Amino acid sequence: MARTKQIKTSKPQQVILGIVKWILIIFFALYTLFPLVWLFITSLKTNAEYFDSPFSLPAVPQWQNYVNAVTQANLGQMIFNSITVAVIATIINVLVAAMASYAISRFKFKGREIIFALFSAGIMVPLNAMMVPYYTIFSKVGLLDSLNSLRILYAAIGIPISTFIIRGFMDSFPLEIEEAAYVDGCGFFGRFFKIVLPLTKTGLVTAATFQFITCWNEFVYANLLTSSPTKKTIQIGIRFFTNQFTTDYVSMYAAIIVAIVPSIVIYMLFQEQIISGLTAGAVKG
Amino acid sequence: MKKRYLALGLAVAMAVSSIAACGSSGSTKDTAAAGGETQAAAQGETQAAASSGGEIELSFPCIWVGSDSKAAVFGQMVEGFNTEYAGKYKVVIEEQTDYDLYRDKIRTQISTGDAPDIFTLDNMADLTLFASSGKLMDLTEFLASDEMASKFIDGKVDAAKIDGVNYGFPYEDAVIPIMYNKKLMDAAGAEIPTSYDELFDACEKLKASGVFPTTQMTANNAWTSMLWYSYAVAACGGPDAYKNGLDDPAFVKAAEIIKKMFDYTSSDAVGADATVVNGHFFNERAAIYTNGAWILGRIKSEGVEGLYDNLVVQPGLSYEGKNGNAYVNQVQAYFAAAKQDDPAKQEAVEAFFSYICDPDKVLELANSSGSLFAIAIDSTKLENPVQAEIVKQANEADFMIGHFQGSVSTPVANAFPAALEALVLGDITPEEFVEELKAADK
Repeated sequence: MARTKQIKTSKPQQVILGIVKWILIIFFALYTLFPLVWLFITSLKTNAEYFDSPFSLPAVPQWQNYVNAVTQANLGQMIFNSITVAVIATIINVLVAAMASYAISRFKFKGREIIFALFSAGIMVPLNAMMVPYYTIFSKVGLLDSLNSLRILYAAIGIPISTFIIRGFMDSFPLEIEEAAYVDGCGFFGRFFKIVLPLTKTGLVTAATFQFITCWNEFVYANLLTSSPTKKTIQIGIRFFTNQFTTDYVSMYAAIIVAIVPSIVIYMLFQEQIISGLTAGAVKG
Repeated sequence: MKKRYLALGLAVAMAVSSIAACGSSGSTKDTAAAGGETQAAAQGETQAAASSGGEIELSFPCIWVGSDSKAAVFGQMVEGFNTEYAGKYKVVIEEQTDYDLYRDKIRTQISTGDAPDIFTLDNMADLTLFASSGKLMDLTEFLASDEMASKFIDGKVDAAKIDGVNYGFPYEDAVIPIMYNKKLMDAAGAEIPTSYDELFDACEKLKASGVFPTTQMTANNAWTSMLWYSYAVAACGGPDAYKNGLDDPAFVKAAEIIKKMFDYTSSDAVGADATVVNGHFFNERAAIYTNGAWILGRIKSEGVEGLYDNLVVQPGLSYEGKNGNAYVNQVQAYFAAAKQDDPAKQEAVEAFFSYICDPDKVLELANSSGSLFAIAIDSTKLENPVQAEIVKQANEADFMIGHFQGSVSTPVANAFPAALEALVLGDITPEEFVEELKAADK
């Protein structure tokens, strides 16, 4: 009632602004959703329909493309592999990055900012340039063709960005709370696990979400370090439908739809923390 | 205080390990040597297995898997080999569907001394580079044996020699015809051309009839336009066009031709990729197209009804009355193998190569995929009439010439798409186009 009254009594400029606001919202919603909708519609076409008219609706929905995606490319096994790799790598990454951030944020020691700069410098390193060293390391330690190689690698390569994000939260976390815990007899590990980690949850979730999505989408090292069909991850599965000269686009799009569902679910579950994380601690740096 | 030092120590250790993990190229040599040791250890295990009479396993990262047109029959060939040599040799395929990733993986494995037992490459430049590492098997003697030499088309194996040594041999041999949609040509009143002048006359008629005369693209590696440029280079420069390098005036003349061809193509050609190009030809929006024989299967399955039956394949066009009836071809897959210390393992590799080069098996592979090979097969047994016609025309061609991408250095090939785009947009002249390619070579 109050809202209605407010609109009735609002000035013409406010009405125009409201209309513009909704136009912009709808525009950006369409702008964001269109690729996903297009992908889904195309995944239900035949290749001939796709080539004939990329933006038309399918004459008859080809659900068989999804059956092909799941059965031919063995997506079930690959999704399971990707989940175990992404979850374990994310847990290791966030735990280690949180420890590093805590040390850098809370303790004053010489070279602290240099160490942080060294961590952050890792963000700038192009991953593809590291293929030979990483391959050699995992070959030497006997972890080739093992999902553990991916878990360790992904956890390591995400440390720079995770440390960067989490440190921002740790810096903004009031020291007084920790001091109060210290006075109450809480030890070093107690303060870290019982006070700091729970109260910087938003930062941890933000870093974890980025890390999970990175692990989920990575494919260069997944292909480099594994060879057995049982060790492949979902991103390799998507590429099952491409080859040297030709691509079965519609089956590939069906596989992509299947592959992006977990990322979208993760984002939807944690969107509040991610958005508040991005707008709070992360940008403070 | 103690905890502060502990924290400092932990932070330093993590930072150092993080940077160490990022690594420096300077350490590659040492780690590569270490990788070599690992491989040596693995080879030692295989040797032990071989000497104890166990089955020898050969690793083979294979690109002919998944939805590849050769996947089914080639997979059967590998299974057939494993069955025939059960208990003695076993080829283990590692599926590689993304070609760029596959290429990165092979390069990494070879540079770390961990080359797969058997693998394929798609160009001589990589074969030469890998051979220089000293990690590839010398196949010269094996390929020169009567049994193997008789299986190949004359001259193909010799053409793959590097300083007189075969570190690999050609297998899939792409023959690339120019394809015309006869129905669209007839409807426009256009004749199948034999020269560029006739081609542009036909293009005018096709344009007037409302279809795109040719299909062009500039995205990715500008594949089909690169093939058109290759044909133009062949017509302007003849069989020796690439011998003088980019200084040959044929490259500028060919640039003029390709620029003009973009006047007779779809409006989305600049920025288009292979999907767009295929879409236009498969759906009869465009009348003239060029691609390797391997595309025939897809034209049949994905083209509009009747397209395949309306296909006319032809060799290259003449320029100023010269150099017509040429065929662009290029080896698309060379087989190579890692150098082996164990003679038993080398024998296993040779047995596999001998098996997959069997002409009857290759004929079956050609029939199933539409691809053509460097193995001498009885072309009268090709079931696909268009494919058989391509083989016949290629055999009767005045000369064969490699495509541009495979005949120039990798930096030049990589510079081609951007230079082409600038050329057709009018940002540079044909002379400047060639200068840009030359600059890439430096």
